[in-house]
Amino acid sequence: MDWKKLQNIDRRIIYILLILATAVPMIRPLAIPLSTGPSVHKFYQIMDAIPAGEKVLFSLDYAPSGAPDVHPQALAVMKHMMNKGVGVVFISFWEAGPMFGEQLIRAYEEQGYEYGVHFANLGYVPGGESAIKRFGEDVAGQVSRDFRNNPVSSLPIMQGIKDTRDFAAVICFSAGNPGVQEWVRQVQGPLGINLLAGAVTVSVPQYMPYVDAGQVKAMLAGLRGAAEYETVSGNPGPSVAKMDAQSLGHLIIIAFIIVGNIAFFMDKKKQ
Amino acid sequence: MNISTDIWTWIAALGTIAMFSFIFKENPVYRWCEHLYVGAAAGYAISVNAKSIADKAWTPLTQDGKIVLLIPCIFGILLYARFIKSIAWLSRWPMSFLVGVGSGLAIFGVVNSQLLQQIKATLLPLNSINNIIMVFGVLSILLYFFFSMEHRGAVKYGASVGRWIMMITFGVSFGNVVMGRISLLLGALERILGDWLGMV
Repeated sequence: MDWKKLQNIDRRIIYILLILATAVPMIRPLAIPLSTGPSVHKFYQIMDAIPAGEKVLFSLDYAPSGAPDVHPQALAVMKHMMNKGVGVVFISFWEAGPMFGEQLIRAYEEQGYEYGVHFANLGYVPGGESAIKRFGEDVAGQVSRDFRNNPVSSLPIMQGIKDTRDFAAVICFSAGNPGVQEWVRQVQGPLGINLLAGAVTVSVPQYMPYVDAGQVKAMLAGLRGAAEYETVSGNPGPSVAKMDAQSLGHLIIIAFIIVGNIAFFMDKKKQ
Repeated sequence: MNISTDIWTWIAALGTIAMFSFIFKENPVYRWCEHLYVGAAAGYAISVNAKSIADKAWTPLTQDGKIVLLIPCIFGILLYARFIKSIAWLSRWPMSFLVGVGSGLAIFGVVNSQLLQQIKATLLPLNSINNIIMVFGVLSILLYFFFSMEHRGAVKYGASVGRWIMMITFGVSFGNVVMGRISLLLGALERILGDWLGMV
């Protein structure tokens, strides 16, 4: 057997197999059971305990490149909050963030929810870490007009909001920096806010120490976190449907890693 | 199959396919779409930032009479002085201010949240397997990076355990990277199979 050839499989074969393994279960789901972890349960319990009429802040710190991993989390939590009657305010420290805020709002506006009452999009604040600090300490002072150019003081949902402690929870949906780390460093530490995180999968090991230390109360990890949240909240949606494809994609990669290693050791033995 | 009639969905789907075409070979369609993406992203960023300047500086300055905002505005303009050789030195003032404020903020935050709080979180009672792994894991990794004594005997074994724990951590990170990349692929496939072709 030509072990060398197996160690150098044409990348196009790998890509085609991977695309097939993920595309087929998206069209015909296999219904592989999905388990839910303690972190997602804790996240759900914290969000579910927020009484109707309260407000939460979503910090949408991601761009289109990370959106497939993080945006489904925001969708799932948004649905939960709307069902509970909790107001959602959006802010972003990434330029693309406000666009995702508008996407989240659109579906609910079509259902009759009212902008300014049930949700508001405060837009983008430039300045990275220092902007997060200023916003955390003085929301109204930092943002005078929302993304739709309304004066923030005229929005009913913003009445009574002075700093981020006035939100029942702050959730940072983050695909990098500025994001969770900056919120922990500049706002959670000094003000002691109720901070939760929705992280892009790549960053999860980086943020785990904050969860262990209690600085971040709970975290959703990537698309899988969104799927688990949909399951726990009893609203299985698009993220759950993608989990079969994700599982098969992982199997393909595991198979290639095993094949590559067998070929490597067999070739070494042969030599 | 229920193919979309929305022009933007078609553009998104065809753009995604064009980017995927790089898998086989670099080609002019891929290049064109790549440039289009970079241009659109830059244009979007400029418009959002321009709105931000208008909302946070121009409107309060001209309509609300907040004269104090002239200071950051002048500092901001001075940043561009670096493009004119004779007055390039002026750009050092706002730059120094930015570096000073940035460092001050970061040092405070890092010491408080990423050092003191993390040390506190590691001081755990050794009454569960998780806590034992956490405490001895941290100690052995610190031992691995302790270069003031030769790694011999017990120190060598401790450092070796630290190395193994780091290897496992790197494996976990790599696993997360793979999972994240598959999620991105699923997002792209959803755009093609779901939004565009209506097969999902």
